[in-house]
Amino acid sequence: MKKVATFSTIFSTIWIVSILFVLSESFSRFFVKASDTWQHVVSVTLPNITSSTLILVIGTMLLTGVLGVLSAYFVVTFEFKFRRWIRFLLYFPLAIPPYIFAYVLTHFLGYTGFLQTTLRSLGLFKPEWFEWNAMVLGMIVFSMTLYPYVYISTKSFLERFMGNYVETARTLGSRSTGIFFKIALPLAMNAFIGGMVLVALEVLGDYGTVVYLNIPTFSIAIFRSWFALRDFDSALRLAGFLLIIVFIILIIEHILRKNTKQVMPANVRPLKRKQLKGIKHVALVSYFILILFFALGLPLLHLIGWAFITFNRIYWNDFGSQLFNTMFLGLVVTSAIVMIGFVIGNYTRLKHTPWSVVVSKITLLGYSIPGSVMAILVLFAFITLSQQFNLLLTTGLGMLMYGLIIRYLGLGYQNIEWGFKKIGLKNNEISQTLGKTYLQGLFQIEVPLLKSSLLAAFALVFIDVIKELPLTLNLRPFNYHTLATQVYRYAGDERLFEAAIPSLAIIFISMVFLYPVIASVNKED
Amino acid sequence: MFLEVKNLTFAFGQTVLFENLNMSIEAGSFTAILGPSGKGKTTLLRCLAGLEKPVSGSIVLDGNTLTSDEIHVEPHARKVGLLFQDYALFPHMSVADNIGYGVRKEDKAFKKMIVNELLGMMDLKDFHHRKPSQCSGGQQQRIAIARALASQPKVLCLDEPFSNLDQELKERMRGLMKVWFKQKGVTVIMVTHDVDDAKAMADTIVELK
Repeated sequence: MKKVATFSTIFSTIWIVSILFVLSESFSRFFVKASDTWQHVVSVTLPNITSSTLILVIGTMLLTGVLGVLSAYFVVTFEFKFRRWIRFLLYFPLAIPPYIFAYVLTHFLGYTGFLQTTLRSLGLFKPEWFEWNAMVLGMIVFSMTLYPYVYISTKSFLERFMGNYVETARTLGSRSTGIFFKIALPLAMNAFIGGMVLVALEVLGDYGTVVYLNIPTFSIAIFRSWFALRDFDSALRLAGFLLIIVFIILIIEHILRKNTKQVMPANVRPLKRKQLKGIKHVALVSYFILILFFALGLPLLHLIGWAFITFNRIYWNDFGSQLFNTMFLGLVVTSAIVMIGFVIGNYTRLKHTPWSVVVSKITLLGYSIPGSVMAILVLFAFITLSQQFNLLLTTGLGMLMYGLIIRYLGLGYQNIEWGFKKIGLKNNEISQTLGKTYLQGLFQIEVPLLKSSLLAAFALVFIDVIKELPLTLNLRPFNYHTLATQVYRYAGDERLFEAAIPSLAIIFISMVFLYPVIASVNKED
Repeated sequence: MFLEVKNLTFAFGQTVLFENLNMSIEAGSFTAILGPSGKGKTTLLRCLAGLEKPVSGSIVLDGNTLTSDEIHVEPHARKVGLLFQDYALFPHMSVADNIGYGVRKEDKAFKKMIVNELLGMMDLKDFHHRKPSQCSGGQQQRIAIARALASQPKVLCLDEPFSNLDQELKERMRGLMKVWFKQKGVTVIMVTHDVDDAKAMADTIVELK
């Protein structure tokens, strides 16, 4: 055990130092003289992107919060037709990348889209109905694709603990609305905040959607400074500003979650759901059908239709290599993340020291750092290394993989850490008293017990990696295409129909990997 | 003496659980350690099993030093079995696999023989393929004892073994356990807060004050 602990300590320390080195690239800029264009960025660009980024994040959080919490509350407390299916299907929009949803939605609402065409043929068309603000469109796109984060966290919590309180509230005379605002919402606040923060971080990290809808956010400003203006100094400084926003969000989350933490009962009493009847029943089922239609039906129907049209137009050989690249990148990065997450998870459960807390927090931090920021930081960290040690390090698969590993390690680690917490140390201890070494206990007893956490970590990271855009776009080797970068390229060329087949491939693979995770979460709940 | 504990001191940070504890135990005996909650009974067993390192003192078993200021033999090499209060059965393994896990020899035929013997001894033959979660509380305890015995420990430590059983089952298990342990000639140390358990089972009672 001593050897395992020493290995884990050394490995975790080296890993964390490498992450800190990458992050330091951003803040070190604040201590050197700024470039000439930085003044312009500060006076013109920064206020603009700060306000629009914040509006987009806050608007999306509001919409996502309402959709996610209401859906979770309804599914947990009421019995209605198709409930089992709806409860299950509500997870699946997670498999649809926001940028693909944005392509579909803009087409759907556009001049040649289904809605306008139908209205025109019925003589009901009014141009002012379709003057959508890009910001509003962005909020809709993100809410429809990201609400599952809030839905999952809130639903799991309510499903486990609502039973203990709702029946008491009902016997005390509370009605559904009262129970929602006075019992469900305050109880689930902690889980709800966790889901909302994930949504905020996803929006901050997005590049594909905002660039397509032309919403000026930090991600866009970073890339424009970097590529269009070749002003690396401003790009790094903007990345530093975005990181500060992320840290503020994380601090607020920490404070809010600390203040809303509840001591939950050890014995969970299942809730007897209330059967809805009449108009209320119809309204609720319609609400869910509407959400599922927009979040799942609309993109899938469009993409399938476009795929049929372009089936003979796309280069299948290229598609094959993009598919291979995507799977290869996804599998290598995800396997590395699960292995690193496992070593760090094992270290943090064995060592209860201030350093192990730091290791845990920094590992989780990577997931909060937007892809655009991570891309530029990794690149500059490699440049610094090249200069310091006279090495020739260029953008390539290794750099891309390293960036993706730091970016998504937090997601994998979180699941593995939770698994380690759930099983505790007792199984290994008993195995040791039966004559087995720590490592034998770890692999023979604990790994099988951790299977569902490891699988969840693998599936969730894999889905995120294959959907990922900003890091892949900027750190990939020359002429290296994945399905995501190909979708982005088609969309950039206004060839949305051609983007359908790679988009469907991403969604299909994501759904295949998502299914066992959802099935296991549903079973646990 | 078979097991000798000398001047054992254990502390969590500033909190001292026990100080200069001395104890001598004969081979094949059954010793009960009595004491109220929070006095370090479980921690003492964990020290004997090697799962905790004491601040000072020594533990010598059958002439071999397991713990001293310089030596700390790893738990897997001590031959000290531990029966947790909640049994800690491996949930993904069948009853037979749980018991078989304790057999130190990797020889399959030998392992099978030991498992069958223990299944028979504990009246668990009909349940060998079941998962622990499909067994009753009493059966789970028997599986845990069988698993511990399968590893052929020199000393078996029992942590409040009857706390999860109802009165009737508890009385039946007391009788059975006495027979099993005598049959196998195992040296047993049991910690409990129940005087009746201690009186019913032990040859020697040690009070932890």
